[in-house]
Amino acid sequence: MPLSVDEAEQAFYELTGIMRQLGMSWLLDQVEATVALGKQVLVSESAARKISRTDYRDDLAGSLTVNVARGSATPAEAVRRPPKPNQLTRTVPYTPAERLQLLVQALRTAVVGADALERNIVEFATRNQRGSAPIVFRPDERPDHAPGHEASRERIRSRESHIAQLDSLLTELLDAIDAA
Amino acid sequence: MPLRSGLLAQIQNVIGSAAASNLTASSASSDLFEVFVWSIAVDAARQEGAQVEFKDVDGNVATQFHFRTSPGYIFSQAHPYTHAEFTFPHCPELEAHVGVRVSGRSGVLHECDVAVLSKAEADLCRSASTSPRSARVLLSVECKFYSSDVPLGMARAFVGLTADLTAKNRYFVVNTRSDSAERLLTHQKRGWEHLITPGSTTVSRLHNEFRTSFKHFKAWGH
Repeated sequence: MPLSVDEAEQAFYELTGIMRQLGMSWLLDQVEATVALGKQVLVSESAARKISRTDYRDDLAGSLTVNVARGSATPAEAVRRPPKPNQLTRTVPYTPAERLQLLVQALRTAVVGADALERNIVEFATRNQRGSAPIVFRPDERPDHAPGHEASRERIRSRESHIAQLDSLLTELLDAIDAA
Repeated sequence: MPLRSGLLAQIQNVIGSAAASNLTASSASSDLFEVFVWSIAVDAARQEGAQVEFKDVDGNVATQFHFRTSPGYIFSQAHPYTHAEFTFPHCPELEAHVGVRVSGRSGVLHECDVAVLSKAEADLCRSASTSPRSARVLLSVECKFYSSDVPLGMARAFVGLTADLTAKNRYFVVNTRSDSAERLLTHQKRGWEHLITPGSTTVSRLHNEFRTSFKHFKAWGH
């Protein structure tokens, strides 16, 4: 049984709650900005006219989207081509499953992706410094307002297993969304 | 495939330990990303034949890396911020900085997330407490670490920024992607690179772009 609309919406709601609790509202803001913009698809002018005459626009538009993928171009790459004169760019809302997918991918980027960045620059620092002292980040101005942070091997090591576990759980969640 | 019961609860349990406390702020991830892009520039210079040394604001060899969490001044003594010095044979020396303000054509100061500029200009600025002129900047990079698509507004701002920032090689570098931002930057003939994450294939493309900038610099420097 595929992931239902209700399940996707409920999971989205629960995950946003978890992120808010963890102080990751910045991530939710970024995802919400993407969701609010919707996704762009190309439709032919005749399809656009047909869509404009129906009450069920989104249902109809799905079947009338111009298939612009040629050769090895992915749909995302295809839509990047400038539209032809007889094509219009239509903005459609993300489905609940797509919204959940955006959120999970954002979470992975923010946590797993940032961990990979930290790991990479710590390795760079170790290669280029005499020792393995932490990398220190400090504000240039108003140091009393922001204490700064550090990147070090110890910190990476301390959360290594949690990162691997989270990555695996997020993959499971993405697989479930993909199957839908 | 329905969601496995308890999957979200498991994510909730592990996420707090997995997310470093500093990563609850987007700025901390951006700091890491800027240093990552800076390290790509350092490696590119080295592969193009530069001798690389890491120094602090007083010219001492850096034994520990210090970077800014917010844009600052090249002459700042608040902390011993690290920069890289590049010495190419028979060429003027260069320096690579993270998060310094640079003066545009209008005289307005702009933040450069990564800036490679002439050491002579940097020395002058440190001794006179001034900001580098963008015309003396060889390479400037606007870095954006986003968890989702980069908003089009960021690309628009970059187009505006580069009208005033006359650095020779200017790049808009992001860890994700955005079709509309990329189309705009391509149309405006601005340098950009997307999906810049450790291990991604696009990193080598950015690395090569930086190498090309250094190659041209060496040609001019002789």
